[in-house]
Formats: sequence, C-alpha cells, structure tokens
Amino acid sequence: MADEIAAETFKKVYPREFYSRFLEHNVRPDGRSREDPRPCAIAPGTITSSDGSCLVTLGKTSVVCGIKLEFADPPLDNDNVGWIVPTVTLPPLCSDRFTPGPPPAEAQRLSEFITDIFCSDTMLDKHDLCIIPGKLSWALYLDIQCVNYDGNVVDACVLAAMAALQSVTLPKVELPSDLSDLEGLPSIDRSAGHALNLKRTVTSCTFAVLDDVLTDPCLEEEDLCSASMTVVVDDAGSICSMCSPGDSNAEDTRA
Amino acid sequence: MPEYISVEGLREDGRRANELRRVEANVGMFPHADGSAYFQQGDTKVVAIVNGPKQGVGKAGDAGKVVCDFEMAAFSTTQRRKPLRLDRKNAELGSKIASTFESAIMTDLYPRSQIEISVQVLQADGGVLAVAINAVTLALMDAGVAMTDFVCACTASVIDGTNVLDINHYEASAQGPELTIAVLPSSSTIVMAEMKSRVHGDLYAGLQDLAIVGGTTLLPLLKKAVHDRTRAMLPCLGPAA
Amino acid sequence: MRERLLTTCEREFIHNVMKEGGEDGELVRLDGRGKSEMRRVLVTLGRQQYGQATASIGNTQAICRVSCSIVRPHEDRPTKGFVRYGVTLSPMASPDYDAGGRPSAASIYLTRLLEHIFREARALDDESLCIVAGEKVWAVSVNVTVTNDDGNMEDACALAALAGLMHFRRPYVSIAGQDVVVHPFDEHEPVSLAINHRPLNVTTALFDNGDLALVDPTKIELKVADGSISVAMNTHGEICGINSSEGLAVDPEQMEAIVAATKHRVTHLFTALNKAFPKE
Repeated sequence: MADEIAAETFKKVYPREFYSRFLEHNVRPDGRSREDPRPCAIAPGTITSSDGSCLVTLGKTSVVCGIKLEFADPPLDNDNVGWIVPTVTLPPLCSDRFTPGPPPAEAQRLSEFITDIFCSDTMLDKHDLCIIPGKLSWALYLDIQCVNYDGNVVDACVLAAMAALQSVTLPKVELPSDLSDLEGLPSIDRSAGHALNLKRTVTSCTFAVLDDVLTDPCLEEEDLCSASMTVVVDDAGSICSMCSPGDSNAEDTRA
Repeated sequence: MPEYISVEGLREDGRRANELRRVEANVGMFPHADGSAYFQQGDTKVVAIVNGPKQGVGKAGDAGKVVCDFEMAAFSTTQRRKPLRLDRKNAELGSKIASTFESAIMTDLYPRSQIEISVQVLQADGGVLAVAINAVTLALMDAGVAMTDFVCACTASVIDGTNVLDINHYEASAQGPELTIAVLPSSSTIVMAEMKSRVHGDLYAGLQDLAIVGGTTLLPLLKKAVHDRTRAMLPCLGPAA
Repeated sequence: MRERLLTTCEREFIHNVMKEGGEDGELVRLDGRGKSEMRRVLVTLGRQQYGQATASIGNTQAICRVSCSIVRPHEDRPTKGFVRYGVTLSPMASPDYDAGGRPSAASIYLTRLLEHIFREARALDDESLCIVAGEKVWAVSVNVTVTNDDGNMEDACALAALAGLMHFRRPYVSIAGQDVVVHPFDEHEPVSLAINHRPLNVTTALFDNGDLALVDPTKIELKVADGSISVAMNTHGEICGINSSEGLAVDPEQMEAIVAATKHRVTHLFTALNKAFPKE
C-alpha cells in the first residue's frame, strides 16, 4: 500500500520522470508498448435521426459524428457543386479543461484539420452534391462532438468522420421532368438513394515524442510530450496529409 | 390523417398507451468528472456530467448553488440545429434542470459551494427534458452529492382521446399536450412541472397521475443502474472493503 | 447591482403574518389580501398607435409593443409567417436588473414563458400571416418591457402581450398579379391578427413545502416563497401551459387543486382585459 501511495505521489510531482522510468523498460504506464494503439471500437449508425453517424472510442477517448443533409443554394462562385461543412465541438462535458463559452482553440484547430482532409476534391467530388445546377444542391453538415477527451482526439475524429461518411445514403430527389414546373422545394425519398461516391478511405495515426516515439498518445502523454505529429494515409498507402501542431524539434520526422 | 394509436391499442412503436420506452443506463463512464451518467429512453440519448461541490462563484450564500449547462448536439434533431452563441431554449432547459435539483439536493450541506451539471443531448426523440433529468439524477448519485431522494421524470400526453405515457418525437408532432413531471418517488412530491400546448382543465388530473406513475416506475431502473455501478466499484476499494 | 437581501426579521414577520390570520381566522397577507385574491388589474391600450398596451397588476407593470414587417419565409415552411417574442427587464423595473448586455436568466424565463403560452399553444394562426407563399410573409414582433417589478411579472407580461396582440392592426395588403401593394392606414382599413384563442397566466407562490399557496405573489412574498407555479388558461377552460420555478416541492393533490382553481382565477384577468376592449 505504501508503495502505491509513493508511486501516485511520484507521478504527481515528477510526471516526466515517472514516464521515463517506464519507457526505459519499453513499456508505458497503461501497459502498452511504444507502438501499440489503444483498443478501438467503431459503431456506425448510432444516431438514427441523422443521415449518417458513427461513434468511435479510442481507449477512453470517445467522439460521436453525425451527418445531416440539407438543401442549400449552390456557392456563388461555382454553380455545380454542393457544400461540405465539418465542425468539431469540444463541450465542457468532455473534459474539465473546457469551460462554457466560445469554442476553445483546440476545437477550431480540429475543425480546420478535418476540413482539409474531407473537403478536398481527392475525397469527394462536390459535383455529386449538386441537384439542380445553379439552383439547388446538398449541404453536408459533418458535426463531430467529443464525449470524452482522453488524448488523441484527432485520430478518433478522422475515424468517426470517415465511417460516418461511408454510412451516408444520399436521398433520392424527386424532380419533375420539366424543371420549370418545380415549385418550392422538391420532395425527397430517404429510403431510396445511393451511397456517397468516396474516392478513397483515409485513416490517421498520431505520434508523440516523449523520450521516444509513442503511437496513439493518451492525455497525459499528450500533455508531457515535446512534439507530436499526425499522419493521414489513404487505402493506396500514400500520405494525404501531415500535421505537427505546436513547438517541435526538426529531428522528430520518424513516421 | 396519421394514425397514432391503432385499433388494437398499439402505438407507432408497438407500445401500449401506458408503457415506457426501453431504458438503458450507464453510470460512471467518464473518470474525469466527479459523476457521470448516460441515460437512454427509446431513441432519446442523453449524457450528463456533474462536477462539485466546488468553490462557489459569485455571491456566496449559506446554501449551495446548482448550475446547469444544457447543450444539444447539432445532429441530435431531425433538422440540424445550428449552434448559437446564446440559445434561449438551451438556457431555459438548463435553468429548469438546475431548479429541479435545487429541491432535491440537500444544498444546506454545501455552503458557499456550487454544483455544476453539464448535459449533452446526443439524439432527441421526444421527452428530452425528462430523460435529461433522469440522467442528471444518476450522475449526481455517482458524484456522491447528498439528495433527499432520486428525481424521476416522465412525460404524458393525450392522443386521440387516450392518455399516453412517454411520448416520442413522432407522437409529439400530433400537437397534443406534453406534460413533463419530475417527482421524488418515495413521497410523490412534484419538483418540476412543465406543460406545452393545450389540454382541457378537466383532463389535467388524469395526465398528472399518469406522468407520476411513469416516474415512479422508472425508480427501480435508476436504482439498478446505481447498484450495478457500486458493485463494479467494490473490488477497487481494496481487500479491506 | 446586487439584489437587496431580505433581513431575517422581515422574513419571520411575513411568515407569521401568513400563519396568524385575520379576525375571522382567514389568512390576511401583508397588503390585506386573502390567499386567492389578486391585486387590482388594469389594462390600457395605446391611443396613438395600434399594438401598444400596458398591463399592471398591483404595482407590477409591463408595456407591450407589437410591430410587423415583411420577410421571406423559411424554405420548408413557405406559407407560415413568424411571431417573435421578447421580454426586456429594464433597470427601471428594479435595481436588481442591469441595462443592456446579455439577457438575464429572468428575462429568458419570461420570454420562453410567452413562447410557451402563445406559440406552443398555437394562439396565433401562422398561416394567416402569409402574403405570397414562398416569397413574402409577415413577421410579427412582440416586445414586452417590464417597467416595474413588484412580483408576478409572468402574469403582467402575458396580459400585456395578449392585449397588445388583440389591439394590433397590420396594414392591408392587396395582390395585383405579381405586385404586392401594402396600403397605408389612411388608404385602407388595417386588419387585426387572427387569434385562435386567448390564453392568460395565473401564478401561485408556494410556502411551507406546498402547504400554503398564495395567488399573485408580490416581490417580497416571492423572496420568502419556496417556489411558484404558473398556469396559463384560455377562455375555453383549456390549460395552455404550465411552468414551475425553482424550489418547487408540492403534493400531487395540491398541484391538481392549483390547476383546477386557475379557471376561476383567470376570469379576474379576463374581466380587466375585456374592459379595455369595449366593442368586443
């Protein structure tokens, strides 16, 4: 018992040293080796009221992604495309480091990251989201809500967004043969429809540097690490995106 | 005319008029909070988190303050909700939940402190306020906040002349009255009452009775969730327990 | 500004007054009223323009201003107009309220109360506000300002809002082909709003864990009360909304009694309202 108390105190007072002691023996405090990711569970279709959804848990981190499709006017500069609008929310519920009020910087960074990956033409052809050129198109709102923040939320978000997009059914729009007959908005048939034409599947992997390169850092490791990097890879094996936020050394390019 | 109750007396999801939806409860999933719970009734899914009692903010009173932050995920409703800086409906529901628990929490035991509740609705399929109150009760139990009793909430409505219990979103679109009552089950004391839409004054008593029955029926389910959590935690207390 | 705290002796005094009762054993409150008596209710309508009404219950006073404008409807509700409610608590009402800034919890509660009573109980007909389906609809804005707070702002706001809506006239609109012509008041008689039913609110404050219920509480009674219940009812005896405030703890029988008694109590408010509209 005394040893346990001593270990807890040591962890609180010298967290960095605590980690180093474990890594010397090629193991992390939660029992994983340096390359092991945490157990991951993906559950698509959890939110039945949305057009596509997915719940992802990565260790204790869990995020829910919900996709809603709505009618919208096409963008002013391009008549034939639709919209993809990702948003990541980190509510106070997911962690005590977030307080009610304006969205934290972390949420905005994640939203930007997801936008870069999923709004590019290499993922989805926005022309598929056009219904009537110049008049009507789909707006695909991709909302990711973090339910528990325990490190590496970025990988969980990418997984959730990818799985949710794969589960989306684009409803069939009933258009009259003569478009000028159309009054108001056309009706849609959610039961008939087709899946989105996704050009590729991506997954991401995040690494943190803490004495050594660790895969899938948990929250404590994220707070202690000197650098981190996220690499996004597609099913063909090519690298789509790399992101290294915050201060990092140039030597940490092992991916 | 959409049919809400069939000739055999079955509702759209196959329930009878006085049946509750299927309940799923999970207590203590988030270690970072003092107390947490997930509660699901039918397709309405709510997560609640409690932090406190902690240092009070603002004017210090002799009794503890309860504050609640209520949020609905953008994808929780059939039509996407745009997240707004000041959402009045969320603010109202947050303050209704906080005031419900002011009556049940023994705030005299926590002077100059405040108890922070955070509610997140993942899917809204009717009865959101009631399900949120049930989730918060479990989260408060998990946090060890002293309460006089469980707080159980349920909705009741009148559809096609029949009193129905625990309505979902489809049944709410029938535009009948929607009564939400939160009770302390052992004394049947009402700690929160809210009614939307219209109902004739003579029908009120029957609706209230049905909602209270619904609340008291939920009690064993809430108790079981807390017991399961406690049983799971017992081995962690160590050999002395 | 900080809310003025109630001293212990004031609190005890009010409690004792309620317990002792008057000459015939009936309870007498600080202002001489019985448990179920409401204060003097007065409704006055604006003479310069339509849609202005002032409602006062005792010393509590609320002023309502109704206005309208033409807007585009929602895409998925092309034939429905909008009615927006807003309640402002000005520092005139009480030093407890701050000017400007974020709406306080109390003003949000009152705004949502009006939305419950009028919008969710469908007191106004949205479809009658349509001018050209899918293109032009009326957006009616109901703004209530509380100018004096002596308790029971809920009832005063609801009364002011209903009086304002009943008094309001919107310009007459004629449609000639594709053009929509809005006629000024001197050209064509303006049109009143289509009101389906008229709900009003009665608030009861509870003391001693629900044993004692006092109708139309004053501000000082509210400070001592455990909680309050607001029940809205219309002229047909239909309940249009129930809202409870914090600290409520009441038996089901007591709750039913309060709701049942609303039918009788709300007539007092309707009498005052009807006096302001002599021709109706």
